[in-house]
Amino acid sequence: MRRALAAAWVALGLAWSAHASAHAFLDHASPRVGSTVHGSPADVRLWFTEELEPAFSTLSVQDAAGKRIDKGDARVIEDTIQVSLPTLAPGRYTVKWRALSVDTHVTEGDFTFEVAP
Amino acid sequence: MTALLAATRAVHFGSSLLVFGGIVFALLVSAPAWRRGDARGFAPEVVERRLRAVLAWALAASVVSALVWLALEVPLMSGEPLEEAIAGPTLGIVLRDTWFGRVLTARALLAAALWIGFAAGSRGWASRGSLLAAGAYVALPALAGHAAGGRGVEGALRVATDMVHLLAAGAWVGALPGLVLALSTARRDGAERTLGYAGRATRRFSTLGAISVSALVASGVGNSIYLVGSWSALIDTRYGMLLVAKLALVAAMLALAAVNRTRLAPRVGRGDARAARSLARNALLETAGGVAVIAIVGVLGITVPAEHASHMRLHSDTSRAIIPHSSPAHRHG
Repeated sequence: MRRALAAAWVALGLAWSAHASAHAFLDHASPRVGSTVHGSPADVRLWFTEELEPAFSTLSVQDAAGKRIDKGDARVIEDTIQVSLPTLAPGRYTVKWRALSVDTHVTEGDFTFEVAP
Repeated sequence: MTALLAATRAVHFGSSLLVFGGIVFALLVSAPAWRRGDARGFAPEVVERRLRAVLAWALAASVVSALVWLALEVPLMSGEPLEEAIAGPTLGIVLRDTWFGRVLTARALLAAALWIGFAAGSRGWASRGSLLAAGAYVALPALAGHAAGGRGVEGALRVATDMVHLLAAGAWVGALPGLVLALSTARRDGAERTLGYAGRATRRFSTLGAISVSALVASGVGNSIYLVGSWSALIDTRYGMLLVAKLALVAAMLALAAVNRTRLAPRVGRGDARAARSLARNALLETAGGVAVIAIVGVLGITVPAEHASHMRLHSDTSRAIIPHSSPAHRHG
């Protein structure tokens, strides 16, 4: 009886193993994902579906050659993360992000946007 | 890695629920079922002594599994290997600056307090204080769970709903092993007054169970509103179908509980030892049902909530997004 109970409890835990886990998915961005903007944007801002942990969420922007060009001042405000940009030359830029949601789940991704003159 | 993380969380939550549920049973079900003037060595004392031993082990398992969980999460959250994280500032950052770490630290203090309570004496371990501490121990993970991450009043409501859900699960499923222990002890003892105690305990457990289950279902519905999002998602998504299965199981468990406790409990109270055996067996069946429910919850946990499935589809074209360290099913783009 005692052993059955113990086994039941381990299994019960195994089931409770992760009461649903919601990841922070990218909801929308500015500049919009895949868009072309006229003129150089002042910053890149990302909105997520969950609140982020500032300690381990990152954001960077690269130019077409793969060189990092953002100002390195990425900051998290609740469910958004943003980083400032210098004046950008026309071309394609890649935004790379890593988001740690408050419920400990990591998502990461990238997208591009174009700067037109 | 995912399987190890899931198993660690499994052991952790299972044992945490048991600690809380056991104190609930001892304080709110068993103790009031004693009759004044019962002699020493009487079955309830035996039950509570055994329960205390089980809970001490459960607490130890809970603490050890929490440490393993931390060791697994630090590299996942920070992207740094564990050795580097411990040598550098990262471990401290996790414990101080993330909700996961803060909750774990607070619960470590609660575990220490509970341990002192268990070790202190055969009488005082199930008290209002330990009930409060164990309740906080079980409920705090809601601050770093799926319900967290919302904002404002809505965010606070989601967390509160999840806390109610955790406490209700603990008070019902976590207390079931206590009931099984009480019934099997009474059956072996066989004396009339022991069965009287068992009958009264079962009745009290039923009342407590009805309240817990109501709270469990209500808070479960509340949680689902945020995670499923629409009626159609219940049928359209894997998550939704699993949820429906879970609810069907809970309904079956409740039917079992109702039938057996209205029929068998009065007979136990009147001194029927065979009824006690049937009741013990059925309580164990209910526990198994609870395990099955939680098994579904486990799968639910690694399934993208229905509400968010649309985000994955929406952004797979324009934005390549991946979820590190999760199952291949979640990778796309």
